[in-house]
Amino acid sequence: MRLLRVQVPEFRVLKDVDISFEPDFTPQVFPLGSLNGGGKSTLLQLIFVLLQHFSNPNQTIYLQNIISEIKTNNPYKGGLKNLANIKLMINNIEIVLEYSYLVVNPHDTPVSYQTGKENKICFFMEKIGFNYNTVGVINFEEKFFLENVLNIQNIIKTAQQEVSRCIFLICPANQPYLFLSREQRRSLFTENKQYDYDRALESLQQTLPNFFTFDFVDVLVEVFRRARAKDFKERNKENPFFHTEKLEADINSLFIDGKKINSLIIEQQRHTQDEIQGVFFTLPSGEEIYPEDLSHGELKRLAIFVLIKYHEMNDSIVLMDEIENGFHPDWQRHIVDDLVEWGASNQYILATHSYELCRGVTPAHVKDLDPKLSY
Amino acid sequence: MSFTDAELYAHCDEIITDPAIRNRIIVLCEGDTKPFKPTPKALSIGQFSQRTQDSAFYYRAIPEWWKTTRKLEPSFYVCGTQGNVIKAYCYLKQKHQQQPKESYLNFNKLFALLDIDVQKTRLPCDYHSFKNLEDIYHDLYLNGKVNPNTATNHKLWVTGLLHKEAYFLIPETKELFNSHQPEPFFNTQSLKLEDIYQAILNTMPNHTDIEKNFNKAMNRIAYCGLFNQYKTIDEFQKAWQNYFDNSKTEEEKVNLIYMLLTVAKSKSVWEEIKPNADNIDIKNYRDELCFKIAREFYAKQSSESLHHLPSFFNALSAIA
Repeated sequence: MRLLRVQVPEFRVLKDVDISFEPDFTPQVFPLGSLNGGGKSTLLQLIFVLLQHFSNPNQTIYLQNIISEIKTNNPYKGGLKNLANIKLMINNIEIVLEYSYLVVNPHDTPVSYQTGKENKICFFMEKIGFNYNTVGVINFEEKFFLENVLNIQNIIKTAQQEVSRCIFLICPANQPYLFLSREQRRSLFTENKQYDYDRALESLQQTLPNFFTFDFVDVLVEVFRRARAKDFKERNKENPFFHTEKLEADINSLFIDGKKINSLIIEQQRHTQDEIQGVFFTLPSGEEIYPEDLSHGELKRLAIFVLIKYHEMNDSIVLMDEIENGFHPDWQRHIVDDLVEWGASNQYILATHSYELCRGVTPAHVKDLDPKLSY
Repeated sequence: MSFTDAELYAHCDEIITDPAIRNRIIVLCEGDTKPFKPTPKALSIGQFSQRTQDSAFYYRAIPEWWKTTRKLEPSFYVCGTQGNVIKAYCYLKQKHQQQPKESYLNFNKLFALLDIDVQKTRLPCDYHSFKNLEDIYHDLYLNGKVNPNTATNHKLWVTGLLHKEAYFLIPETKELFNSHQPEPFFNTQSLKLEDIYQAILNTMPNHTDIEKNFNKAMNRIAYCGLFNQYKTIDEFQKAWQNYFDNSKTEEEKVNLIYMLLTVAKSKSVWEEIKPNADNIDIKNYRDELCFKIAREFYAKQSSESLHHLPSFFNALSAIA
């Protein structure tokens, strides 16, 4: 699956955004830059939430939170306003998702649309269009009525399943997310309310399984548990710890100084589902160290590696916000190489400030957002 | 496009006062300098990437073993023409000596990497006993390979092959071209490196500076003894073609190719390579191809490799 193009006429600081991500470029890594406040994070979150809504139309809370950010000072009479258009390539079919809204003035609208004293977004539409290779843009309504309805529905269903599986967002943990409610976001900045924000993030990760923060230990322990569960299920007679050992070998290849990872097991019995409690590392000297002893950069790189390789990110769109934070400039130079090595089939859109990261791709890969609205 | 003198010195002032260069190997290199802004921090990352594209190949070619040394990787700064790179080297040396407290530079870690080309380029500042780049070439290379006995003496490096683009076209990159998608085309056909070498040979007469500096170029491959008696490009072309067509081993062919790349221009031939597909940005296509060559050939060379660029990085590593 590939993100081909995103257009945002106007949303918060984003204005007249029209960015294409060329599917023939190699690697499929696109740095996205702007000044602080230029809208990089906003754009990634908007893309993620709109595509999540497409794949799961019943889950509207995050979309509602994003829509609540739309300024409704000037109700637009007489028609829909375009929020964003997203063009995807799914199984060689180009799909265009068009998101629009209508703002109603409580004094001008029929009773059935009245929602109170304030202007509100009262109608939100997601339209789906298809480009069948060189056929060209198809008129949406005509397509739905004239074509085989079942066929279209099957395509949409397949697309929804693909998007549900294949769109990921990975961000710093201490960032305000537009798809949380304003109250939840405010708790990040309210004394004694950090716990509320952390709880909100935990809840997000339950209901948005493809959303991750650059956290470390939970991710590590989880993949060891999964590897152990696979070993238990498969009961490979030649090597009963095949998946666990492969995971350990993969992780150990990341450390150039010879550190080795071990999973901390309460009970160690062959052919049983042992309980993984945590992980620790062994230095070449034999000394054992724990995740809290590693540097922030080492842990973050490890977490990203584990996320990509062991959370089945294949042929996916991976949106990442400021991946370079915590990395030495020399490590930033190799971010592109690492992502391609760990998940070459994915497409990566990286919101970044890092010049060093951009050395890993040709200039044509690098997309800039020019802030055009004062916000 | 290259800097004016004023822009060049402003660029150097920026480099020397940038904390990012602290303790780092700095390599000045040739390349297109547009768009120029005196303050790189004001550049968007898109503009930065365009501006530094000519150094990007070298960044991608830093060998993978460098990470195991735990030493800071070198940084490359594009300065424009060959003459500008030398001016920048001399200016930075002088500025560092005059105002050491305002310099983040470690002068021992300042290098320059220049295409040897064929022009007679004199060195304006003291650089050992060498008067020009040709002198440096003959001290740095022995029988076509980097001389291990003299490599560590040099801060001004010249390429062993005439142009940087020649390093994209060495015989060892054949499989990388074969596996590249979309398929590379040359002269409306599937790219074969033999056709590339033929074109490089055939276009030699098109370059008047090659003709004017023919003897100088021939001196660089005098060690092989095959072409010493030839005085014109035409004679060289015929002799080279004859040797190549009648080579008995692959090694002989490879040696001849390297000799050709040492004395003939390859840049214009490289710029004729196109993708076998429509609606593809051709410049980006070639950039991606050269990145691939850097990453999948040069970066994978060991520290014992005798290829020129890996030898260069080996020498840098000794100083880093």
